[in-house]
Amino acid sequence: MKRRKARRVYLRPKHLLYALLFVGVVLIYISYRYKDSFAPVKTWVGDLVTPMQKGINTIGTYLTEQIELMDSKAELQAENEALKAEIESLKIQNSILVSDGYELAALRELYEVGQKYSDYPMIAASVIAKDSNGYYSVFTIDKGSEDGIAKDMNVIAGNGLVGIVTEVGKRYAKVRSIIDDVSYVSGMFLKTNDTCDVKGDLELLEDGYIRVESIRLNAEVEENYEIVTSHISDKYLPGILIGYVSNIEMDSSNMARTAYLMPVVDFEHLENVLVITELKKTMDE
Amino acid sequence: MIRSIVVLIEIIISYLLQSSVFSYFELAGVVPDILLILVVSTAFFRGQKAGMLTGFLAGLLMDLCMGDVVGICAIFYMLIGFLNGYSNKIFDREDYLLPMALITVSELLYNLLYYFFVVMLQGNLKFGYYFGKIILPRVVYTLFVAILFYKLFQMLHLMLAHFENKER
Repeated sequence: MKRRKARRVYLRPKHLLYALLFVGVVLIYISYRYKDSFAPVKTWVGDLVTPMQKGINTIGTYLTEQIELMDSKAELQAENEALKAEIESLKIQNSILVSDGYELAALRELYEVGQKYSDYPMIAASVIAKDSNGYYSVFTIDKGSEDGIAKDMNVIAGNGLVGIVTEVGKRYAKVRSIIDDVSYVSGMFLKTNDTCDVKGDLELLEDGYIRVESIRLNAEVEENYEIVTSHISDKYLPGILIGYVSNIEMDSSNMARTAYLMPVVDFEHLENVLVITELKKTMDE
Repeated sequence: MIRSIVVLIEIIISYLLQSSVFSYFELAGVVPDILLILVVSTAFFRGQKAGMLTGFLAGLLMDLCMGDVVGICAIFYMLIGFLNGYSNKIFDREDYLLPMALITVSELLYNLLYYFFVVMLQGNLKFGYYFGKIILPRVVYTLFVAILFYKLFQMLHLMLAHFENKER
Protein backbone atom coordinates (compact mmCIF):
# COMPACT_ATOMS: atom_id res chain seq x y z
CA MET A 1 0.00 0.00 0.00
CA LYS A 2 2.73 2.36 0.96
CA ARG A 3 4.75 1.66 -2.16
CA ARG A 4 1.78 2.21 -4.38
CA LYS A 5 1.16 5.59 -2.88
CA ALA A 6 4.74 6.67 -3.27
CA ARG A 7 4.86 5.66 -6.88
CA ARG A 8 1.82 7.67 -7.82
CA VAL A 9 2.90 11.07 -9.07
CA TYR A 10 0.92 13.87 -7.57
CA LEU A 11 0.40 16.66 -10.05
CA ARG A 12 -0.06 20.00 -8.40
CA PRO A 13 -2.66 22.36 -9.87
CA LYS A 14 -0.04 25.04 -10.51
CA HIS A 15 2.02 22.67 -12.63
CA LEU A 16 -0.99 21.64 -14.62
CA LEU A 17 -1.77 25.34 -15.09
CA TYR A 18 1.70 25.98 -16.50
CA ALA A 19 1.55 22.90 -18.70
CA LEU A 20 -1.84 23.80 -20.19
CA LEU A 21 -0.81 27.42 -20.56
CA PHE A 22 2.23 26.26 -22.49
CA VAL A 23 0.15 24.00 -24.74
CA GLY A 24 -2.27 26.86 -25.35
CA VAL A 25 0.45 29.31 -26.27
CA VAL A 26 2.03 26.77 -28.63
CA LEU A 27 -1.36 26.23 -30.29
CA ILE A 28 -1.86 29.97 -30.69
CA TYR A 29 1.61 30.36 -32.12
CA ILE A 30 1.14 27.52 -34.61
CA SER A 31 -2.28 28.68 -35.76
CA TYR A 32 -1.05 32.24 -36.08
CA ARG A 33 2.22 31.44 -37.81
CA TYR A 34 0.96 28.75 -40.17
CA LYS A 35 -2.52 29.97 -41.01
CA ASP A 36 -4.14 26.82 -42.33
CA SER A 37 -2.35 24.23 -40.25
CA PHE A 38 -5.45 23.52 -38.18
CA ALA A 39 -7.82 23.26 -41.13
CA PRO A 40 -7.86 19.42 -41.15
CA VAL A 41 -8.47 19.27 -37.39
CA LYS A 42 -11.18 21.91 -37.66
CA THR A 43 -12.82 20.00 -40.49
CA TRP A 44 -12.68 16.80 -38.46
CA VAL A 45 -14.28 18.43 -35.44
CA GLY A 46 -16.82 20.12 -37.70
CA ASP A 47 -17.79 16.84 -39.35
CA LEU A 48 -18.28 15.40 -35.89
CA VAL A 49 -20.30 18.25 -34.42
CA THR A 50 -22.39 19.38 -37.39
CA PRO A 51 -24.65 16.30 -37.65
CA MET A 52 -25.49 16.77 -33.98
CA GLN A 53 -26.20 20.46 -34.51
CA LYS A 54 -28.40 19.53 -37.42
CA GLY A 55 -30.35 17.12 -35.26
CA ILE A 56 -30.82 19.61 -32.47
CA ASN A 57 -31.73 22.22 -35.02
CA THR A 58 -34.67 20.18 -36.27
CA ILE A 59 -36.03 20.25 -32.73
CA GLY A 60 -35.59 24.03 -32.61
CA THR A 61 -37.33 24.52 -35.95
CA TYR A 62 -40.11 22.18 -34.89
CA LEU A 63 -40.71 24.17 -31.70
CA THR A 64 -40.78 27.48 -33.55
CA GLU A 65 -43.23 26.01 -36.05
CA GLN A 66 -45.49 24.75 -33.29
CA ILE A 67 -45.54 28.17 -31.69
CA GLU A 68 -46.39 29.72 -35.01
CA LEU A 69 -49.19 27.18 -35.53
CA MET A 70 -50.90 28.55 -32.47
CA ASP A 71 -51.89 31.58 -34.49
CA SER A 72 -55.63 31.50 -34.73
CA LYS A 73 -57.21 29.44 -37.46
CA ALA A 74 -59.54 32.22 -38.56
CA GLU A 75 -56.63 34.53 -39.09
CA LEU A 76 -55.00 31.98 -41.34
CA GLN A 77 -58.19 31.41 -43.28
CA ALA A 78 -58.65 35.10 -43.92
CA GLU A 79 -55.05 35.29 -45.00
CA ASN A 80 -55.61 32.31 -47.27
CA GLU A 81 -58.51 34.04 -48.98
CA ALA A 82 -56.49 37.18 -49.52
CA LEU A 83 -53.57 35.18 -50.84
CA LYS A 84 -55.77 33.29 -53.28
CA ALA A 85 -57.03 36.54 -54.69
CA GLU A 86 -53.48 37.77 -54.92
CA ILE A 87 -52.40 34.61 -56.75
CA GLU A 88 -55.01 35.24 -59.43
CA SER A 89 -53.82 38.75 -60.10
CA LEU A 90 -50.21 37.59 -59.97
CA LYS A 91 -50.92 34.87 -62.51
CA ILE A 92 -52.05 37.48 -64.97
CA GLN A 93 -49.07 39.69 -64.21
CA ASN A 94 -46.79 36.69 -64.53
CA SER A 95 -47.99 35.79 -67.97
CA ILE A 96 -47.28 39.35 -69.06
CA LEU A 97 -43.84 39.19 -67.48
CA VAL A 98 -43.03 35.86 -69.09
CA SER A 99 -43.65 37.25 -72.50
CA ASP A 100 -41.60 40.29 -71.55
CA GLY A 101 -38.88 37.90 -70.41
CA TYR A 102 -38.63 36.30 -73.82
CA GLU A 103 -38.34 39.70 -75.36
CA LEU A 104 -35.70 40.69 -72.83
CA ALA A 105 -33.66 37.56 -73.50
CA ALA A 106 -33.78 38.23 -77.21
CA LEU A 107 -32.77 41.85 -76.71
CA ARG A 108 -30.01 40.88 -74.31
CA GLU A 109 -28.60 38.54 -76.86
CA LEU A 110 -28.58 41.37 -79.33
CA TYR A 111 -26.76 43.64 -76.93
CA GLU A 112 -24.56 40.83 -75.61
CA VAL A 113 -25.21 41.85 -72.06
CA GLY A 114 -23.20 39.82 -69.61
CA GLN A 115 -24.69 37.15 -67.43
CA LYS A 116 -26.88 38.18 -64.57
CA TYR A 117 -26.25 36.35 -61.37
CA SER A 118 -29.54 34.58 -61.62
CA ASP A 119 -27.81 32.46 -64.24
CA TYR A 120 -25.10 31.23 -61.92
CA PRO A 121 -25.37 27.60 -60.78
CA MET A 122 -26.60 27.56 -57.20
CA ILE A 123 -27.22 25.17 -54.33
CA ALA A 124 -29.78 25.83 -51.62
CA ALA A 125 -28.68 25.31 -48.03
CA SER A 126 -30.10 26.00 -44.60
CA VAL A 127 -28.43 27.71 -41.69
CA ILE A 128 -27.91 25.26 -38.85
CA ALA A 129 -25.74 27.12 -36.35
CA LYS A 130 -24.57 30.60 -35.58
CA ASP A 131 -21.35 31.75 -34.01
CA SER A 132 -21.86 31.49 -30.28
CA ASN A 133 -19.41 34.18 -29.34
CA GLY A 134 -21.38 37.29 -30.19
CA TYR A 135 -18.46 39.10 -31.76
CA TYR A 136 -18.49 37.53 -35.20
CA SER A 137 -21.17 37.04 -37.78
CA VAL A 138 -20.24 33.58 -38.89
CA PHE A 139 -22.73 30.80 -39.41
CA THR A 140 -22.78 27.17 -40.45
CA ILE A 141 -24.82 25.74 -43.34
CA ASP A 142 -25.78 22.12 -43.89
CA LYS A 143 -24.05 21.57 -47.24
CA GLY A 144 -20.37 20.75 -47.65
CA SER A 145 -17.74 19.47 -50.05
CA GLU A 146 -19.81 16.38 -50.85
CA ASP A 147 -22.54 18.65 -52.16
CA GLY A 148 -20.05 20.52 -54.31
CA ILE A 149 -19.27 23.46 -52.07
CA ALA A 150 -15.75 24.87 -51.95
CA LYS A 151 -13.95 27.62 -50.11
CA ASP A 152 -14.49 31.21 -51.35
CA MET A 153 -17.83 30.48 -52.95
CA ASN A 154 -20.29 33.38 -52.71
CA VAL A 155 -23.44 33.01 -50.66
CA ILE A 156 -26.65 34.91 -51.43
CA ALA A 157 -30.16 34.99 -50.04
CA GLY A 158 -33.18 36.40 -51.79
CA ASN A 159 -31.51 38.75 -54.23
CA GLY A 160 -28.60 40.03 -52.19
CA LEU A 161 -25.14 39.08 -51.08
CA VAL A 162 -24.86 37.30 -47.72
CA GLY A 163 -21.19 36.42 -47.49
CA ILE A 164 -18.49 34.00 -48.46
CA VAL A 165 -17.61 30.40 -47.59
CA THR A 166 -14.54 30.35 -45.36
CA GLU A 167 -14.31 26.72 -44.36
CA VAL A 168 -15.67 23.51 -45.82
CA GLY A 169 -16.25 20.11 -44.27
CA LYS A 170 -17.77 17.03 -45.80
CA ARG A 171 -21.32 17.92 -44.83
CA TYR A 172 -21.11 21.49 -43.60
CA ALA A 173 -19.59 24.85 -44.48
CA LYS A 174 -18.85 28.02 -42.53
CA VAL A 175 -19.98 31.31 -44.00
CA ARG A 176 -18.67 34.72 -42.98
CA SER A 177 -21.37 37.27 -43.61
CA ILE A 178 -20.66 40.74 -44.98
CA ILE A 179 -21.89 42.34 -41.76
CA ASP A 180 -18.99 40.76 -39.84
CA ASP A 181 -16.57 43.26 -38.34
CA VAL A 182 -13.65 41.83 -40.31
CA SER A 183 -15.52 41.35 -43.58
CA TYR A 184 -14.34 43.40 -46.52
CA VAL A 185 -15.97 43.44 -49.94
CA SER A 186 -14.96 45.46 -52.95
CA GLY A 187 -18.13 47.09 -54.22
CA MET A 188 -19.25 49.33 -57.05
CA PHE A 189 -22.08 51.75 -57.71
CA LEU A 190 -24.29 50.11 -60.29
CA LYS A 191 -25.17 53.39 -62.00
CA THR A 192 -21.77 55.04 -62.20
CA ASN A 193 -19.33 52.12 -61.90
CA ASP A 194 -17.43 53.95 -59.14
CA THR A 195 -15.74 51.48 -56.85
CA CYS A 196 -15.86 51.52 -53.06
CA ASP A 197 -15.13 49.25 -50.11
CA VAL A 198 -17.95 47.69 -48.13
CA LYS A 199 -17.04 46.83 -44.58
CA GLY A 200 -18.98 45.26 -41.74
CA ASP A 201 -19.55 47.43 -38.70
CA LEU A 202 -21.06 45.99 -35.58
CA GLU A 203 -22.05 49.38 -34.19
CA LEU A 204 -23.85 50.61 -37.30
CA LEU A 205 -25.55 47.26 -37.67
CA GLU A 206 -27.75 48.12 -34.75
CA ASP A 207 -29.57 50.53 -37.07
CA GLY A 208 -29.43 48.05 -39.92
CA TYR A 209 -26.46 49.54 -41.74
CA ILE A 210 -22.92 48.58 -42.65
CA ARG A 211 -20.18 50.93 -43.79
CA VAL A 212 -18.99 52.01 -47.24
CA GLU A 213 -15.53 53.55 -47.56
CA SER A 214 -13.18 54.95 -50.18
CA ILE A 215 -15.74 56.53 -52.46
CA ARG A 216 -13.93 58.81 -54.89
CA LEU A 217 -14.43 62.53 -54.25
CA ASN A 218 -15.69 63.32 -57.72
CA ALA A 219 -17.89 60.27 -58.04
CA GLU A 220 -21.41 61.37 -58.90
CA VAL A 221 -23.26 59.31 -56.37
CA GLU A 222 -26.49 59.98 -54.58
CA GLU A 223 -28.55 58.50 -51.79
CA ASN A 224 -30.30 55.20 -52.51
CA TYR A 225 -27.97 54.18 -55.31
CA GLU A 226 -27.47 50.44 -55.54
CA ILE A 227 -24.11 48.97 -54.65
CA VAL A 228 -23.13 45.68 -56.25
CA THR A 229 -19.97 43.58 -56.01
CA SER A 230 -17.31 45.01 -58.27
CA HIS A 231 -15.38 43.55 -61.17
CA ILE A 232 -12.06 44.01 -59.42
CA SER A 233 -12.96 41.95 -56.35
CA ASP A 234 -10.81 38.85 -56.23
CA LYS A 235 -13.29 36.57 -54.50
CA TYR A 236 -16.75 37.96 -55.16
CA LEU A 237 -18.45 37.45 -58.49
CA PRO A 238 -19.32 40.76 -60.13
CA GLY A 239 -22.78 42.29 -60.11
CA ILE A 240 -24.31 40.78 -56.99
CA LEU A 241 -26.52 43.30 -55.24
CA ILE A 242 -25.28 44.25 -51.77
CA GLY A 243 -27.57 47.07 -50.76
CA TYR A 244 -28.56 50.72 -50.96
CA VAL A 245 -26.37 53.60 -49.97
CA SER A 246 -27.26 56.51 -47.69
CA ASN A 247 -25.65 59.19 -45.46
CA ILE A 248 -22.83 59.96 -47.88
CA GLU A 249 -20.34 62.22 -46.14
CA MET A 250 -16.73 63.36 -46.26
CA ASP A 251 -14.04 61.10 -44.83
CA SER A 252 -12.07 62.47 -41.87
CA SER A 253 -9.02 62.57 -44.15
CA ASN A 254 -10.89 64.62 -46.80
CA MET A 255 -9.45 62.31 -49.44
CA ALA A 256 -12.53 60.19 -49.99
CA ARG A 257 -16.11 59.86 -48.93
CA THR A 258 -17.80 57.33 -46.69
CA ALA A 259 -21.41 56.28 -46.47
CA TYR A 260 -23.85 53.89 -44.84
CA LEU A 261 -25.21 50.92 -46.67
CA MET A 262 -28.52 49.18 -46.04
CA PRO A 263 -28.07 45.50 -47.00
CA VAL A 264 -30.92 43.95 -48.96
CA VAL A 265 -30.62 40.72 -46.97
CA ASP A 266 -32.34 40.41 -43.62
CA PHE A 267 -29.48 39.02 -41.53
CA GLU A 268 -31.59 38.77 -38.40
CA HIS A 269 -33.81 36.08 -39.85
CA LEU A 270 -31.54 34.16 -42.13
CA GLU A 271 -32.74 30.58 -42.53
CA ASN A 272 -32.15 29.54 -46.11
CA VAL A 273 -29.34 30.69 -48.35
CA LEU A 274 -28.10 29.95 -51.85
CA VAL A 275 -24.49 29.12 -52.53
CA ILE A 276 -23.19 30.03 -55.96
CA THR A 277 -21.07 27.08 -57.00
CA GLU A 278 -19.08 29.07 -59.47
CA LEU A 279 -15.80 30.55 -58.26
CA LYS A 280 -14.43 33.83 -59.43
CA LYS A 281 -11.68 33.23 -61.91
CA THR A 282 -8.48 34.80 -60.75
CA MET A 283 -5.28 35.67 -62.54
CA ASP A 284 -3.35 32.61 -61.49
CA GLU A 285 -5.92 30.13 -62.78
CA MET B 1 -13.00 7.21 -16.19
CA ILE B 2 -16.79 7.42 -16.28
CA ARG B 3 -16.45 10.93 -15.01
CA SER B 4 -14.21 12.06 -17.87
CA ILE B 5 -16.63 10.63 -20.39
CA VAL B 6 -19.57 12.34 -18.71
CA VAL B 7 -17.72 15.65 -18.64
CA LEU B 8 -16.82 15.27 -22.32
CA ILE B 9 -20.45 14.65 -23.18
CA GLU B 10 -21.46 17.62 -21.03
CA ILE B 11 -19.04 19.83 -22.95
CA ILE B 12 -20.37 18.74 -26.32
CA ILE B 13 -24.01 19.09 -25.31
CA SER B 14 -23.38 22.52 -23.81
CA TYR B 15 -21.71 23.63 -27.01
CA LEU B 16 -24.58 22.31 -29.12
CA LEU B 17 -27.13 24.07 -26.95
CA GLN B 18 -25.17 27.27 -27.13
CA SER B 19 -24.65 27.26 -30.88
CA SER B 20 -27.87 25.71 -32.16
CA VAL B 21 -30.72 25.85 -29.68
CA PHE B 22 -30.11 29.17 -28.02
CA SER B 23 -29.68 30.92 -31.35
CA TYR B 24 -33.47 30.58 -31.48
CA PHE B 25 -33.76 32.27 -28.12
CA GLU B 26 -31.42 35.17 -28.60
CA LEU B 27 -32.01 38.05 -26.22
CA ALA B 28 -30.58 41.44 -27.18
CA GLY B 29 -28.58 39.63 -29.86
CA VAL B 30 -26.56 37.42 -27.52
CA VAL B 31 -26.61 33.77 -26.51
CA PRO B 32 -25.81 32.61 -22.96
CA ASP B 33 -22.43 31.06 -22.29
CA ILE B 34 -23.38 27.56 -21.17
CA LEU B 35 -19.84 26.24 -21.55
CA LEU B 36 -18.70 28.80 -19.00
CA ILE B 37 -21.41 27.71 -16.58
CA LEU B 38 -20.14 24.15 -17.00
CA VAL B 39 -16.52 25.13 -16.42
CA VAL B 40 -17.28 27.18 -13.31
CA SER B 41 -19.56 24.48 -11.90
CA THR B 42 -17.01 21.73 -12.49
CA ALA B 43 -14.28 23.78 -10.85
CA PHE B 44 -16.58 24.51 -7.92
CA PHE B 45 -17.55 20.86 -7.48
CA ARG B 46 -14.22 19.22 -8.03
CA GLY B 47 -11.40 21.68 -7.74
CA GLN B 48 -8.73 23.30 -9.81
CA LYS B 49 -7.41 20.44 -11.90
CA ALA B 50 -10.79 19.25 -13.07
CA GLY B 51 -11.84 22.84 -13.70
CA MET B 52 -8.74 23.57 -15.73
CA LEU B 53 -9.04 20.45 -17.90
CA THR B 54 -12.74 21.01 -18.52
CA GLY B 55 -12.06 24.65 -19.36
CA PHE B 56 -9.24 23.80 -21.69
CA LEU B 57 -11.28 21.23 -23.61
CA ALA B 58 -14.36 23.45 -23.77
CA GLY B 59 -12.31 26.38 -25.03
CA LEU B 60 -10.53 24.20 -27.55
CA LEU B 61 -13.83 22.95 -28.93
CA MET B 62 -15.02 26.52 -29.32
CA ASP B 63 -11.77 27.57 -30.97
CA LEU B 64 -11.91 24.69 -33.41
CA CYS B 65 -15.53 25.26 -34.29
CA MET B 66 -15.74 29.01 -34.51
CA GLY B 67 -12.56 30.96 -33.91
CA ASP B 68 -9.70 31.91 -36.17
CA VAL B 69 -6.81 31.45 -33.77
CA VAL B 70 -6.82 28.09 -32.00
CA GLY B 71 -5.96 28.13 -28.30
CA ILE B 72 -7.18 31.53 -27.16
CA CYS B 73 -10.52 30.51 -25.71
CA ALA B 74 -8.85 27.35 -24.39
CA ILE B 75 -6.47 29.45 -22.32
CA PHE B 76 -9.19 31.82 -21.11
CA TYR B 77 -11.55 29.04 -20.05
CA MET B 78 -8.66 27.16 -18.49
CA LEU B 79 -7.72 30.21 -16.41
CA ILE B 80 -11.34 30.56 -15.33
CA GLY B 81 -11.37 26.91 -14.30
CA PHE B 82 -8.16 27.44 -12.32
CA LEU B 83 -9.37 30.55 -10.49
CA ASN B 84 -12.77 29.08 -9.69
CA GLY B 85 -11.08 25.94 -8.41
CA TYR B 86 -10.09 27.84 -5.27
CA SER B 87 -13.75 27.96 -4.31
CA ASN B 88 -13.88 24.16 -4.15
CA LYS B 89 -12.54 24.35 -0.59
CA ILE B 90 -15.78 25.95 0.53
CA PHE B 91 -18.08 23.89 -1.68
CA ASP B 92 -21.50 23.51 -0.17
CA ARG B 93 -24.29 21.88 -2.14
CA GLU B 94 -26.89 24.06 -0.48
CA ASP B 95 -25.16 27.27 -1.41
CA TYR B 96 -26.53 28.79 -4.61
CA LEU B 97 -25.45 32.36 -4.09
CA LEU B 98 -21.73 31.73 -4.34
CA PRO B 99 -21.79 29.79 -7.65
CA MET B 100 -24.07 32.42 -9.20
CA ALA B 101 -21.66 35.14 -8.11
CA LEU B 102 -18.74 33.11 -9.44
CA ILE B 103 -20.44 32.60 -12.78
CA THR B 104 -21.22 36.29 -13.12
CA VAL B 105 -17.69 37.38 -12.28
CA SER B 106 -16.19 34.69 -14.51
CA GLU B 107 -18.34 35.60 -17.49
CA LEU B 108 -17.34 39.22 -17.02
CA LEU B 109 -13.68 38.24 -16.76
CA TYR B 110 -13.87 36.02 -19.82
CA ASN B 111 -15.45 38.75 -21.92
CA LEU B 112 -12.96 41.35 -20.75
CA LEU B 113 -10.06 39.02 -21.56
CA TYR B 114 -11.61 38.27 -24.91
CA TYR B 115 -12.11 41.93 -25.66
CA PHE B 116 -8.63 43.05 -24.68
CA PHE B 117 -6.73 40.17 -26.24
CA VAL B 118 -8.76 39.51 -29.37
CA VAL B 119 -11.28 42.17 -30.31
CA MET B 120 -9.15 45.18 -29.40
CA LEU B 121 -6.12 43.80 -31.18
CA GLN B 122 -8.22 43.66 -34.35
CA GLY B 123 -8.57 47.41 -34.13
CA ASN B 124 -11.92 47.84 -32.41
CA LEU B 125 -11.27 50.42 -29.75
CA LYS B 126 -14.83 51.31 -28.82
CA PHE B 127 -14.80 49.54 -25.47
CA GLY B 128 -17.85 51.35 -24.11
CA TYR B 129 -19.88 50.21 -27.06
CA TYR B 130 -18.83 46.58 -26.79
CA PHE B 131 -19.36 46.61 -23.06
CA GLY B 132 -22.93 47.85 -23.34
CA LYS B 133 -23.86 45.92 -26.45
CA ILE B 134 -22.29 42.50 -25.96
CA ILE B 135 -20.58 42.01 -22.65
CA LEU B 136 -23.31 43.23 -20.31
CA PRO B 137 -26.21 41.46 -22.04
CA ARG B 138 -24.15 38.26 -22.14
CA VAL B 139 -23.38 38.41 -18.44
CA VAL B 140 -27.01 39.00 -17.56
CA TYR B 141 -28.36 36.32 -19.88
CA THR B 142 -25.75 33.81 -18.72
CA LEU B 143 -26.61 34.43 -15.09
CA PHE B 144 -30.27 34.02 -15.90
CA VAL B 145 -29.71 30.68 -17.63
CA ALA B 146 -27.18 29.61 -15.00
CA ILE B 147 -29.90 29.32 -12.38
CA LEU B 148 -31.28 26.37 -14.33
CA PHE B 149 -28.09 24.86 -15.70
CA TYR B 150 -26.11 25.05 -12.47
CA LYS B 151 -28.77 22.94 -10.78
CA LEU B 152 -28.65 20.50 -13.67
CA PHE B 153 -24.86 20.13 -13.58
CA GLN B 154 -24.98 19.79 -9.81
CA MET B 155 -27.52 16.99 -10.02
CA LEU B 156 -25.31 15.16 -12.49
CA HIS B 157 -22.30 15.69 -10.27
CA LEU B 158 -24.06 14.39 -7.14
CA MET B 159 -25.39 11.40 -9.03
CA LEU B 160 -21.91 10.52 -10.21
CA ALA B 161 -20.44 11.03 -6.75
CA HIS B 162 -23.05 8.71 -5.32
CA PHE B 163 -22.28 6.13 -7.98
CA GLU B 164 -18.54 6.34 -7.39
CA ASN B 165 -18.89 5.98 -3.64
CA LYS B 166 -20.89 2.82 -4.14
CA GLU B 167 -18.20 1.34 -6.34
CA ARG B 168 -15.57 1.87 -3.70
